[in-house]
Amino acid sequence: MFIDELIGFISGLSFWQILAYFWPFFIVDMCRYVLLDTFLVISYIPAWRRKAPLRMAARKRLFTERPLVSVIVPGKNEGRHLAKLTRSLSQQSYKNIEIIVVDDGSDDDTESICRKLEAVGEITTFVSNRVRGGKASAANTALNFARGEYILHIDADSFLASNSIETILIPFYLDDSIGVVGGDVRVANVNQSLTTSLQAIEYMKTISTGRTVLSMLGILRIVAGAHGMFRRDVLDRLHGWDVGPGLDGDITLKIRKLGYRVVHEPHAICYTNVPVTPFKLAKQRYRWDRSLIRFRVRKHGDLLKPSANFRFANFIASVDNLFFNLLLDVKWWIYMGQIFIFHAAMLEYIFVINFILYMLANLLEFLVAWSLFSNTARPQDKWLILLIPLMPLYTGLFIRIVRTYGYLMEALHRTSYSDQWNPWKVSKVAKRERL
Amino acid sequence: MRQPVYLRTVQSLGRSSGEFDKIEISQLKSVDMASIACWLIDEDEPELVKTLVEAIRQHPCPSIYLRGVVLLTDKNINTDDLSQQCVDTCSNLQLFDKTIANELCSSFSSINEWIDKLPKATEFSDINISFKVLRFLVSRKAEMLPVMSAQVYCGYDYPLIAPMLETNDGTILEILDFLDERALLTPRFITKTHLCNNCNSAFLNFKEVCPHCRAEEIKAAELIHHFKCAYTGEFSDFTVNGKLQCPKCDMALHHIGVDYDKPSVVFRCAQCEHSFQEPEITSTCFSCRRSCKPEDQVSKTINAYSATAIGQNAAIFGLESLFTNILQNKLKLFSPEAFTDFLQIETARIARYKISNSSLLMMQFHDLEKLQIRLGRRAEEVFIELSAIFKSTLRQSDVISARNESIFFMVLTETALPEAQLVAQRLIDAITALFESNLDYSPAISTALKQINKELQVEALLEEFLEKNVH
Ligand SMILES: [Zn+2]
Ligand SMILES: [Zn+2]
Ligand SMILES: [Zn+2]
Repeated sequence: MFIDELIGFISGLSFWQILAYFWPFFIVDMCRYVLLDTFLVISYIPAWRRKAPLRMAARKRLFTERPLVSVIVPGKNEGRHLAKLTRSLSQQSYKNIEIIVVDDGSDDDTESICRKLEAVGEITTFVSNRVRGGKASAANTALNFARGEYILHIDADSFLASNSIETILIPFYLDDSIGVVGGDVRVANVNQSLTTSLQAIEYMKTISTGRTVLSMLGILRIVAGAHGMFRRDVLDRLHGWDVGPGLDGDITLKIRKLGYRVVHEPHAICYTNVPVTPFKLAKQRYRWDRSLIRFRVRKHGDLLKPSANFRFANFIASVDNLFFNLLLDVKWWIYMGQIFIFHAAMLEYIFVINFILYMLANLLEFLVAWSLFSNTARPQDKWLILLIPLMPLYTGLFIRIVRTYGYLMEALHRTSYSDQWNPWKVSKVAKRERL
Repeated sequence: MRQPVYLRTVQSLGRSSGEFDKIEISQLKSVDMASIACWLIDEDEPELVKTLVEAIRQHPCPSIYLRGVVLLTDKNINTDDLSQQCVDTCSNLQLFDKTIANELCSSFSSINEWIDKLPKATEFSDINISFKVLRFLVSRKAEMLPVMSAQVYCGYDYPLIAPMLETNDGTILEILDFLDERALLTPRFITKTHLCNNCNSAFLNFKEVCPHCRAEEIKAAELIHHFKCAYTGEFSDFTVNGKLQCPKCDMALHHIGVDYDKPSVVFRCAQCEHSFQEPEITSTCFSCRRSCKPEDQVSKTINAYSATAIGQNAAIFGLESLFTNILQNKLKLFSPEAFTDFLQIETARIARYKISNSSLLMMQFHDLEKLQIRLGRRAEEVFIELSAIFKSTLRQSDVISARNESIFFMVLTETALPEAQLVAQRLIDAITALFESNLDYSPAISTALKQINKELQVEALLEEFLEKNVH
């Protein structure tokens, strides 16, 4: 009978009522994430196939020139993950690599693990910074010792598919104006918990599909720290990374400002371990989300202002990011207010219909992502489709609330300056210098 | 009345000896041992001092080698001078006066009284070097302190004992260890040292090398981390006109800990450009030139030693020879007298019946004493195995006797020379195999075989054999 009432409610809706009750879905999310993404991915696949001969030629050039690739792995207390990473590196189809691990003041057995890996040659150079300096300084330490023409920045708790380095290098041989290529990041511990499974679906949407689309539009604004290949000369011009958090997004924007292209390569795969419990996930996202305020708005606000080095794509990249993160967040709360105040009588119908709409959208996005990388997916991933009904709750409620909290805290208190993620001495300087 | 005795080398006849006896090294054994109060050496040349002290200390007679030695010198008394450390006392006095001589003699009275207590103190009986060292230590009633020295292989010397040894190749440490393991000495930790695993030399050149290509030319670089911009690079990147300036953001760096820090030190190889934090350490030996890693070096504790109560007792009554003891129990050794008797009977028997052939086998192990020192506690096991070899190779009717721990005589009854030759070879092979497989050591063994007949002059033969094989 609820179903009957629901059908009755729907059939009685006029076009304007639909728009009034469900405007966030139809105006924003459906247009941006469903229609645009689907359209672009569908056009991406044949274009990608068409470029196969070019890619073959680029690959041939790559293997003739054989540039040295420095894989840099900054981290703290990550020793236990490293053996898996170094094994995946030793199994790469592209062999001319060196591996530089920087330990940023670990207080566990990371150093002894790394010294052993260094002794057997699994790690080329291991640098232990006894005093913690933060992730940016660890990455910069690694950069100081890297001898490669290309720098692959990778997180210690992840590992690579065997053709990953080869695949992520090819875009550089297709286009000289590319400064950095982001690799695909997929969830390694998919089946560890419901939290990790849901993140696996989320990563498919936001990274595999999302970044491919942004890359096609020329407005990719972030290359994941977990998996990004940089041109050495570009990093040298920037003197490496700036103080974090959010240093991945920050350096990507700086590379864009230098006039280089930033692209995503969905076929170069890195598997990473994601937080297992909702609480740890919340903490991680809280940290990520605050960086939006700090870097996009405070530090790179100039991208939005017309100036001498104004570039339209950079402008759009920032607008897209700000709009679809910050403003959508505001929109969500406005919408909630609207429903509770004006449509309290129809609350349950509106929620159920929204749930169904977002579930269908998620299903479509999942299928789109699957079509993009089905050839590189692991067989067990297809069962994730059964969890699609949970996604509206995951992204619509959980992630939304964490994000809002993060934005608010950063906007009001600049809490990221006192983040434990950076050592206190660095945070103090960053706050004083208003970085 | 005891008198000091001047000892001199042939080269230094010129010095006056006043009213004291003055003898040459070659006359050592003919001196009246009971009346020696101490030895006087009046030489300035360190080499001559050394020669004289060695002649005294290496002598097998307790009444000679245990006596105090006084060095008369015009030079300043200098504790760094090894030739002054190897004697009991140094003196600037021109010692021609009876009263001073008496004082000197009485200062050695405790040593001399101890020597008087020894049985056979005037015989040439002390051949075992470990035993001599023990006796010397006990007679001095003082702790033997190690002295750092660039003159000896192992870097530490016990200058008073050192002249007892013919070489300074580290044997002294082995002897002291040997005595320590038998609870004859008490060690007191002084320091430790690392020795070459090939030649026991302490003179090692330690080097930090590239772990990648082992090149020795490596450079250390300090890293600097600028907090503000997170730039991290080598110290040299930051130095502009002698001041620290960040190459990324051009800011001047003022206070360590406030706007920058130094997170680590990293080495870079000049040969292969490899960067690393932990250089490999190798050491090259100055004497044999071999290189080895620190974990392969011989780590040695350097102790001061004093005698235990057991040691004091053993110093007077003798160290029971370990090897002969074991052989005695396992093999029923005959005494030299019984052996000579048996040999005569056997000679007569063969002469009378003219149908038998028996052989005399003489065997000597060289360096056995050295080996015994090196083996320490394990010596016992090895000697038990050694006697098992004798037992399984020889027959029940064979007769064995030992002159000392390393010289053996055997009568192989009813064994003609060719078969005796085989027996000897089997013994040598088995013993060599035992040492080589367990100890990585090839023993030097000499043998001699004689058919037993009535022309055989036993004593003459033994003399001849020993004569031939001593050194
Ligand atoms: Zn090297
Ligand atoms: Zn700086
Ligand atoms: Zn050596």
